[in-house]
Amino acid sequence: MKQIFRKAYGLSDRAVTWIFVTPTIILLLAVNIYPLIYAIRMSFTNFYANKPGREIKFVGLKNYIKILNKEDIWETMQATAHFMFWTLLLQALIGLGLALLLKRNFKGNDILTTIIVLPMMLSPAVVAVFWTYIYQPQSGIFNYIINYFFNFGEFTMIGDVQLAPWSIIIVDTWMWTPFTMLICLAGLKSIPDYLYEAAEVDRASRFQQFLHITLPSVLPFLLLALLFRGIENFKMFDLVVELTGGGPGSTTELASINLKREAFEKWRTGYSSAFAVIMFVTIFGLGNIWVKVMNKVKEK
Amino acid sequence: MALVQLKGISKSFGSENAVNGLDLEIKHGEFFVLLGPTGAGKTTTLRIISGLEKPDQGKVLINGEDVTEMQPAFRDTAFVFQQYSLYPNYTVFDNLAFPLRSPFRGIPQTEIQAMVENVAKLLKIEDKLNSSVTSLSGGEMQRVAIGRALIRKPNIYLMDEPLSSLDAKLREILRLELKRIQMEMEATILYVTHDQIEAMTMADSIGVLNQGILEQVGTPAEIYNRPCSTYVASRLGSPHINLVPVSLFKHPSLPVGTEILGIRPEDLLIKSENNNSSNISSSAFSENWISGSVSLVENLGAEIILSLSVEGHELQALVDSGNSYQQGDSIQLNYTLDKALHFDTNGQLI
Repeated sequence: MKQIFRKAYGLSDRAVTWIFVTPTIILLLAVNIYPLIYAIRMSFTNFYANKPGREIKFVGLKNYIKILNKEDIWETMQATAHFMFWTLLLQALIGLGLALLLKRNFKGNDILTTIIVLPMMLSPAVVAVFWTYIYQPQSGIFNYIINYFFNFGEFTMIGDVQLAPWSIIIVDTWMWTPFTMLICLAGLKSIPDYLYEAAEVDRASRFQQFLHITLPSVLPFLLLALLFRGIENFKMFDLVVELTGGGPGSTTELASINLKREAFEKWRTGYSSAFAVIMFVTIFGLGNIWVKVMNKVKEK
Repeated sequence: MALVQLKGISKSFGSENAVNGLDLEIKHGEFFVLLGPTGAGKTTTLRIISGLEKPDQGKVLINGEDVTEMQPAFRDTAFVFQQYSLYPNYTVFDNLAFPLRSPFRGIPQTEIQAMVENVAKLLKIEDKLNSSVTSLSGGEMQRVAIGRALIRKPNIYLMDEPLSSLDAKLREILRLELKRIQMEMEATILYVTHDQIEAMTMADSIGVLNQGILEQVGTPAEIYNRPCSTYVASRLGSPHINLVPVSLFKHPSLPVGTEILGIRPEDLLIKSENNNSSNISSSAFSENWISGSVSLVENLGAEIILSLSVEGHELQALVDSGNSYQQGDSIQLNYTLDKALHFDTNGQLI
């Protein structure tokens, strides 16, 4: 191969390597690295993208200070944290539970798995539209089912200040639990049967088998699934915008929705760049800590 | 006391008969080896005794009690798996302590500590107690797996080819250790293997399995010297026994019905120009020498394996390394009469 290349085109191995890699590098620089650096630069200015003629002034850390002192930013952060905590927790528990059920061999196992995975394949915007109908106070099936069992009387999921944050948690969990389930299932299937057999002969109870064999083996997989879900949900946008639009008031206004408003409705480009950088650093930091934890668990 | 009895055990998977009407008795303190090739039903037998598999027919008795319907946890057996099957997320200590920490036992922590250290010393892995099991070598892993069984004092130890994935040298060491430990602890062991050397060296009794049927049970010497069939005869001995038609050696006075002669390689007598009296001492042999030639010489150091070509048959002979043979040498062949085994047309010993 080497010989042929050299003879035909007069290229060395190194040259061939560069020919293959260069397009990727250029693309990466153009669409990832350059915008990132540009955004960081803009975050130190008072740039407004809708006022092209205006002079751009360097303002130092003023944007950052303003953001960190603003109460409603902290509220969106809180809303995001609340959303992330509950979606990740629910998706971990339900996903692992479903995976444990589906691990057993029974008839129709494959079909059931496919059905459970379906929500994941839908578009978030479509899911959101569906759920606005499901959540309809008078005609929606959600209210009907809840009232059938608990009889709360009339209530609205999306319109209520107390319930709206939960409405988005429920939809995200409905849509993405299959994802954690699939990854947990892969983990569970990698555990050899003879470990359970050994434990059984060693007189381990079912609970002990779960604690000592299943859980340690599946935990790295679960943490990986949660890492993906965490990153996704930190920047959650489409589902929530379609479902609640951030409302009522700003109860479901997640950080990313607030950011979009600042950047593309109020056009405070410099200010929102600073916000974006803060979000980037946050998720980057959290992600790194998570990966460290994951590696610890894997080593053990 | 532990006495394990199998009565008429049958088990099939689909259309395949893994075990067929098996009767077996393992006495207290006995090292019993089940010998057979892959698919003979050895592992299935072990799994049935441990309770991991339920027999289709028959009964399992431990100390006279019928445990056929009992869960594995309550039979008090210890199983050493072929694939080690250590708990991957734990240290050697925790793996060894695992059976002791069962909620069905409730042994205090200090006692567990002492027992683990004891077993670790026995298996010479004391210095590895705090290592993760995934960092161990194959031999060490298997020691831990054996240790996890030894730490309990179960009715019976069930071992499923525990040494088969180790290299030859380690296998030899562990073989001796296992035998020593078994004698020290007076343990009852049912050991499954396809390796005849393991069977010969460790066993008090050997059971030879053939396609789910127990062909013969006896001491290693009995099985070697008086195999009940050509199948059993060819399972033991290396190089394996020569099975030749009775017509080859034209001997006049053989038991009635003899069709096949079984002659161990060490019982063949050879005369050649360079080595006049190899193997020939005082043993009685017939006067009918037959001629053949040497087709291959394998020097093992202390002994030489000769492959012989005699009237269209391939035979193997074991001779002292004091002799010198060359490929192509012509030889005269005979055998020690009273050592030969006589089989009928069905391969059964007469």
